[in-house]
Amino acid sequence: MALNCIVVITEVINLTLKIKYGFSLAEAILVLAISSISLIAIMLIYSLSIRETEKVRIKTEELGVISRIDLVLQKELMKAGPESTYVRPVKQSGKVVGIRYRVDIPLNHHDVTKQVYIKNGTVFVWEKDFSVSDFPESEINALEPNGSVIAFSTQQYPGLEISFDLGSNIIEYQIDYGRTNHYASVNLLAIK
Amino acid sequence: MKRIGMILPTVLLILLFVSIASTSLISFVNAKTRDISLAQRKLENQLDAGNTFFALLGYFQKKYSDSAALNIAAINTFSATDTAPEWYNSTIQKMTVGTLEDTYWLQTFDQFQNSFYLPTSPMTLALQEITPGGDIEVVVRPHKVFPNMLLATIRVTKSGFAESIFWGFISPRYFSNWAVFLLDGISNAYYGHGEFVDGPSYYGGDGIGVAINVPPKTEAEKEHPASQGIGATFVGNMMNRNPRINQLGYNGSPEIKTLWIDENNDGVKDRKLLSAQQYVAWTEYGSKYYVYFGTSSSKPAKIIIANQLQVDGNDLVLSQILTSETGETLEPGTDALKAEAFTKYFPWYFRSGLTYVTNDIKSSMESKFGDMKSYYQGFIDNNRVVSSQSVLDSYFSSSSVGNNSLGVFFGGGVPSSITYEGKTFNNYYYIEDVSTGNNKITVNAITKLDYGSVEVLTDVLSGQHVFARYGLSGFDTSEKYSVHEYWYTEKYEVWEKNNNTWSRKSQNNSRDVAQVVITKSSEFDSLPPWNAKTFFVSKTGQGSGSVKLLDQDLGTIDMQHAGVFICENDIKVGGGGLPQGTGHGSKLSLVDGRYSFISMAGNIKIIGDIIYNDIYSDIQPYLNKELIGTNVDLNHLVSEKNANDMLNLVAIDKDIYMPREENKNHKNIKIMSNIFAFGNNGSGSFRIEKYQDFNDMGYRHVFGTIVAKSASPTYTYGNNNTIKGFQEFNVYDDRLYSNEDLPVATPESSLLMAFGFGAR
Repeated sequence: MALNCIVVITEVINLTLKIKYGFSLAEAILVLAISSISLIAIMLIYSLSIRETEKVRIKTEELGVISRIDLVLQKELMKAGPESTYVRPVKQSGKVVGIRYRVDIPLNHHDVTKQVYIKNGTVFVWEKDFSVSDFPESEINALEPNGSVIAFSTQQYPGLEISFDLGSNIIEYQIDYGRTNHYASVNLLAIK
Repeated sequence: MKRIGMILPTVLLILLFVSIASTSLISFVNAKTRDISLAQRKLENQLDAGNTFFALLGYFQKKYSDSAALNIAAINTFSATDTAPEWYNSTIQKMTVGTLEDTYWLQTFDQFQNSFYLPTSPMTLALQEITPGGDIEVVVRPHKVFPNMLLATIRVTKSGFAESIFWGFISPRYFSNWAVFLLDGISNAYYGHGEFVDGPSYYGGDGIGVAINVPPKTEAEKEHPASQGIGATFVGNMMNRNPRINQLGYNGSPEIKTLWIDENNDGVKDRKLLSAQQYVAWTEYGSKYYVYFGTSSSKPAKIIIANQLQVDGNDLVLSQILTSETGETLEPGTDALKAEAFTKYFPWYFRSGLTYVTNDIKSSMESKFGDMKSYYQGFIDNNRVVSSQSVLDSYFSSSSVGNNSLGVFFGGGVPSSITYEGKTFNNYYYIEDVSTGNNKITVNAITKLDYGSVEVLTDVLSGQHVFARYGLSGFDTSEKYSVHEYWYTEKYEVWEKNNNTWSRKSQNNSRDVAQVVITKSSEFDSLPPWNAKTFFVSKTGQGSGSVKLLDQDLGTIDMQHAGVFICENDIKVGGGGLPQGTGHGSKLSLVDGRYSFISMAGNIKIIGDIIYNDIYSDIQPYLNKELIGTNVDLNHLVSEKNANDMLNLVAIDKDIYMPREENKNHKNIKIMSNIFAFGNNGSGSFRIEKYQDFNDMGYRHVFGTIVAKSASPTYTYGNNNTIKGFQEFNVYDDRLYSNEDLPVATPESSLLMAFGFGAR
């Protein structure tokens, strides 16, 4: 009896060892079909998402650039004054590409002439000791006159454009980068 | 047989790739968003810092109105510390390796005390209300010489990052911050064609009128001065109690057109507005069109401002109209509305706008004028200026004058009892030994120091010339010195002691005596107090030619001053330099340094040119000549020569004027000084005595500011329209706008001002 039992167990074991791993064809087709549908759906969603995210990325990058430029323009132009005669547009091919201005350092005989301008997608700020001759009666179109020293520059942003509109106590400007346009103005607090 | 499925791993791999790609993309967007957010927060913080600064300005204005002084030490919402906060030091540190502009800012910051006033907690909380979510820190430092002037630096951060720093100066608005300030305005005069006020101006009381022509002429057409067709032009903000147009006319011949409206901005005229109207139009920067039209060529009645204008044959087509379609009247009802209209309709004549002087501002300014007597009396009562009599006492005892004095007060002499050679002289000032010998002593016993009229002679002398004039050595021959002689009269008696008996030989004698103050020119390169030498001289002949020391045995004594010289009565200035001086004794006073000459109860009489020494060599060729039509730009010269000379003439009670007799042969007088006539007990005008009795004297050139209670004409027309008197051509000293080179004791108005903004 005992021997027979052993034989039966051996048979069962033998039976177990003969089970085949993997999917049947039907199973494989089913799994493949579901996976493919899922994959296609995922890829579609991903592709859609990547397109939208890319748009967001581009917009975000544009806004980032504009915010940085905006900060520079606000911080710089705010100081122009006190005479409005020393706040002048800088033109290139008839277009205003920058503002040249005097910064009057109070209680001090040293004043500074500064210019914020855009050139090849880069915003520059140069400075030099103030001289009346920095503001000739004729149109100002020299971007980087002798004696000017670059005090600040951004990195190059291809396609970046800035246009300025000089009012009596205000400078309005428009920053265009990619598909994003930004209009802003800065009050000339220091003008008398 | 063993089979391993590939689908699951493939799917997992793809999912992994997608996850990584998505994560990196999201991370990128996230980083960029953070970048924008940072820039945006910095911008917001910058705005918040600016807002906080202006909130502080409002707060200090209230404090200033309450106590008539901006004394931060007395404001209990701020507490002083000797140590600046870490962020403040760090900002300064960063600026030391910064730009040219940073270097100059630091030079200015150095003029402020190393006492740092920080807001107390309640004050910080109050300021915090302005910037919800942002952390505000404030440091306020008073100026070393003008403690009423404050440097306020504000730092705003959000969540510990995106730091923005903003700084600016808060100061009482000095009356010199206006190019012209007329407390009572002018009821019967107006600014005519071609007149030009090149700084902020104030006209209270009756306000003032102007002549205006429309449209303005182009720059190329303008001729200066008094060009017809150019209205009076105001470069700085004009404050006017009663703005009015005394003359209004067209330039050129108005055209006649029919006015049409282009309603949808497509370039097509849609609706007829007015038929056959006379009009003139003008634009600046091609952005706004100002169209004046009316029924008469001399009186344009209305104005339309439009964004676009085109002429089409006999039609004028306007698009994007910014005013009423039917036009707005040039002078609407109230004065306040008029002020707005002037700014709106004539921006080229009122380049920084026109502000209405409200009842509050008018009252506070009038009150401030009335306070001037007590303000300057405070200098005397609080011993901030030392009396000339006590300088005389120090001179006789060869001791130096106390170092806390801002200057000298010529007035309030007190006699005393003096015992000399066995005799007591009662009610005398001092005894001067004239001669001794043969048992006989002769003395001058001074009975009165008469400061009723102090004449100030100012010039620049080398050390060598100081020796030549006074016989005093100890002055460096290679140095230049600012030399002032303050001449007044002494009354005295001559007494003689003979054989031990005193007898009075004469009385009611008088002589001219001067206190001399000599300051090395280079002293003025730094902030006051300035080291000087002082002593006394008397005249040995007529005029200013020869002088002798009041006591031959004495030399000079040391004194420090800050350029404040107060006289109880009249002051004469401009009468001439010194024979040995740079001005060569001509009818000219050279001012080297920064001074305030203040008359408490008298007039200030200007009897010749007053010229700043630092620009004298450039002005010399133009003495007696008018500056109009020349290339002389005084502000340019000051800047080019790095000039730091400045003079205040302050008459508290009465007037500042040019007496006829002393000026009748002096054409094109040049007065480089700031004029303050407060009229606490008189008209307070800046005038020319009997101007109508002069011939054509050319121009009265003032380089500085003119602040007066009332104004007076300076010329009229004689036969054949000839000029009688002096026409005016004044230039505002641009340094005044930002308080550069301001003499100590420059009068302050009732308003505060903010200037000198910077940000990091």
